[in-house]
Amino acid sequence: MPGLIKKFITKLSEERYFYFKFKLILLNTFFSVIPLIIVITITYLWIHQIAHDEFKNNLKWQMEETRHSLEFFISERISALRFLVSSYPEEYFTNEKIFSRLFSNFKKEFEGIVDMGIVDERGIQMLYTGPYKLKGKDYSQAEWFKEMFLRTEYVTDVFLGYRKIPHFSIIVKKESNYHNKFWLIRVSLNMDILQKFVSNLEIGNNDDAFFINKQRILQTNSKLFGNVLEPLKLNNITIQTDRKNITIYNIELNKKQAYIAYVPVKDTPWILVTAICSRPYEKIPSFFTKEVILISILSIIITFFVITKSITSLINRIQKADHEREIAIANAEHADKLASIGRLAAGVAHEINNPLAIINEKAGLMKDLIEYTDLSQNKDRFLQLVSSIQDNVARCRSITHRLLSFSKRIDRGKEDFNINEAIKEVVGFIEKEIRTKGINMFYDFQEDLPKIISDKGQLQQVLLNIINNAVDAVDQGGTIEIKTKLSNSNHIAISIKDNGHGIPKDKLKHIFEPFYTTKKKGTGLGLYISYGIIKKLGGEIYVSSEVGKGTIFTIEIPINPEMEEIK
Amino acid sequence: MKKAKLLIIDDESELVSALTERLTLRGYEANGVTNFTDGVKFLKKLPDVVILDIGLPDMDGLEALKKIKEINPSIQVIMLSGYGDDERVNKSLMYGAYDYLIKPVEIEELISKIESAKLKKEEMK
Repeated sequence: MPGLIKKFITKLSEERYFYFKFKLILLNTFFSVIPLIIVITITYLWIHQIAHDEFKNNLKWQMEETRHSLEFFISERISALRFLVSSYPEEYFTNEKIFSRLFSNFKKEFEGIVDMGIVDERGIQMLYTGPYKLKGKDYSQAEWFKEMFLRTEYVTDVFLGYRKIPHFSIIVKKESNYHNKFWLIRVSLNMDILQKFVSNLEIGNNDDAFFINKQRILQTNSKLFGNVLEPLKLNNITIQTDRKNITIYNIELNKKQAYIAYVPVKDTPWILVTAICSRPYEKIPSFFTKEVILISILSIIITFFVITKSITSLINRIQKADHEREIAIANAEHADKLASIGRLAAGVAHEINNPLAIINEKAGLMKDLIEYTDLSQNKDRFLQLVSSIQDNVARCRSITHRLLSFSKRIDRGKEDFNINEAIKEVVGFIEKEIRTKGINMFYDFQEDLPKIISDKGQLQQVLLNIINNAVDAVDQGGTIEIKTKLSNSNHIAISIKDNGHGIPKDKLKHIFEPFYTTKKKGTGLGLYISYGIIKKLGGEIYVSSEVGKGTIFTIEIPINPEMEEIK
Repeated sequence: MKKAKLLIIDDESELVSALTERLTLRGYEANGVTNFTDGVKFLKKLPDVVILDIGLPDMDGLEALKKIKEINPSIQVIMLSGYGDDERVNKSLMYGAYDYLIKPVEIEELISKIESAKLKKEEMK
C-alpha cells in the first residue's frame, strides 16, 4: 500500500490530473443530478396519471352525454307517438288521407322519421305513408310484432326489413276498447340517425365509436370491427347489458394498449361502445415537456458549472501541493546525496589517513634514524622502511582508483557486470567500518550467475544503502549474510540478512516512505530512493523483519530488462 | 623530569611499531599493541598517556576509552584516528579523552600533546 500511495503522489502526471478531474466532475454531476431525475420522474408519472384520469373522465362524460341525448331522442318520439294515439280521434289512423297529413306534420316536428304505418293485431300493415310501398305487408312473423303482445312500446334493433336499408322502428301500441284488440303505430328511422349520435363524440381519427345490440350485432358502422348488422369482431371482452354505468376495459388491441368503454342506452336495445387507440392521455401537457426540461437543463448546466469550478480549484490545489512536495523531495534527495557524498568522503579520508599515518611514521622514523643513530648500520632497515612506504602508497592508490572508477560509473547507465563482484566492491567501500565494528560477513554467492544488464552505479548505490543500514543495525560483532541466487530464468535475488535489532511491524510498513527515519542523523530518504531506483531498474524490493532477530532485505533484479518488457 | 610512560593501541601494526620506535628514540618508555585485550596488561603498569585508535578489532575505541577511564581515571588518553567527524570527536572528549588528533599527525605535535597530557596527569595526582 505505501508503494501505491507513493506512486500516486509522485507520479501523478498532467494527464492523470486531467483524468482524475474528469472522473470527479462526471461522478459529482451524476450524483447531484440524481435527485432532479427522481423528482422529474415522479412528477412525470404523477402528471401522466392526472392526464390519464382526465382522459377517462372526459370519455365518460362524452359517452354519458351521447347516451342521454339518444335516450332523450327516443323518449321524445315515444311520447309524441303516445300523445298521437291517445289524443287523436280514430279516423286519423283509418283514413289514409288524414293519416298522410298527420305523418307529414309529425315528420316536420321530429327529424329522422322516414315512414309511419299502422299495423293491426294480425300483423298486417293497414296504413302506410312513406317513400316505400309497404302497405299490406305482413309483419306477423317479425320479432317486434311478437314482442308487442307483451309491451306497450318498443324500440327495435337495426334491421333490413322489406326495404333492404338498415333501419330501426319505434312502435307504440294502442289498446282497443274491444277485448283483446289492439293496433300499433310504427315509425321507422334510418340507421344514419344513430351514426350521427356517434359522430358527435369528440374522439381521434384512430378511435372508434359505434352501437351494438344485446346480441353483439353492430348497429352502426364501425371503423375497426365491421359494418352495420355484422357481428362484433371483438371477442376478448364481455359486455354486460344490465350495467347502468360506463364500464372501461384496458385491453390489448392489435398489439397496442387500448381502452374499450361501453354503456347500455336505457329503454333501447343498444349499447354505445367506444374504442380508444390513439392514447391521447399520453400527451403530457406542454408546460411539463417544455418548461420542466428547460429548468432541468438549466439546473444541470449550473450544477455542472459549479462542480467543474470547485473541482478544478481542488485539483489545482492538489497539483500545486504535489508540485511543492516534489520540489521538497527533490531538495531532500539532493541533500541526501550530499550527505552520502559526505559519508563517502569521510570514509575515504579515513581509509587514506591510515596508510598516510603509516607513511608519515615510517618516513619520520627514517629521519629519526639519521638523527639519532649511526647511518651505516641501518641500510637494511632503510630499505625495509622504504618498501613499507611504497606498500602504503599502493594502498592509497588502490583506494583513490576505486573512488575514480566509482565516480566514472555514476553517469554510465546500463552495462553488463557480475553481480557478485559488484557486491564485493560495495562491501569494499565500507570494509573499514565493518572491521571496526567487528562484523562477521558471510557470503553465499551462486557462482555460475549470468552477467546482468543494468545500471551498476545505481544498483551499487542501493546495495551500499542497504548494507550500511545492516551495519548500523547490528551490534558490535554482529553478523551480516549476503546471498545471491537465480530466482527464475530472468531474475537474480540478492538478500542481505542481518542479526540486528529488527524493525517493529508498525514501523516496517513506513520504511519505504519519504522522510521516514528512525536514525538520529538520517534524512529518511535512503530507502525511499532505493525503492525508486529498484523500480526503475525493473526490479522488486522486499523486506521482512523480526524484532530482536534481524532483518532481511531482498532485491529481485532482472538479468535482462529488455526481456522483461517483451514479457 | 621523568619522561612519560606511553601505551599505543592501534590496529595498524606497522604504525604501532614505527611510532613506538620513534617515541622510544626520544626517550619515552613506549609500548605498542594492536588490540585492546593486549593493551589491558600494559594498563596495569599504569602508563601516563595512552594513544588510542577509534577502530579496534575487538572493541570500539570509545568503549576502550571508557574502560581505560574506569581502570584509572588519571590515565590520559589521546585519541588518534583517521576519522575526524564531530560526533566521534565530541563523544571522545565527553568520555574524558585528553585530546583528539587526526591521522597523520606530526611527531612534534604528538609529543607536545603527550607532554601536556603528562602534566595534567601530574596535577591529578
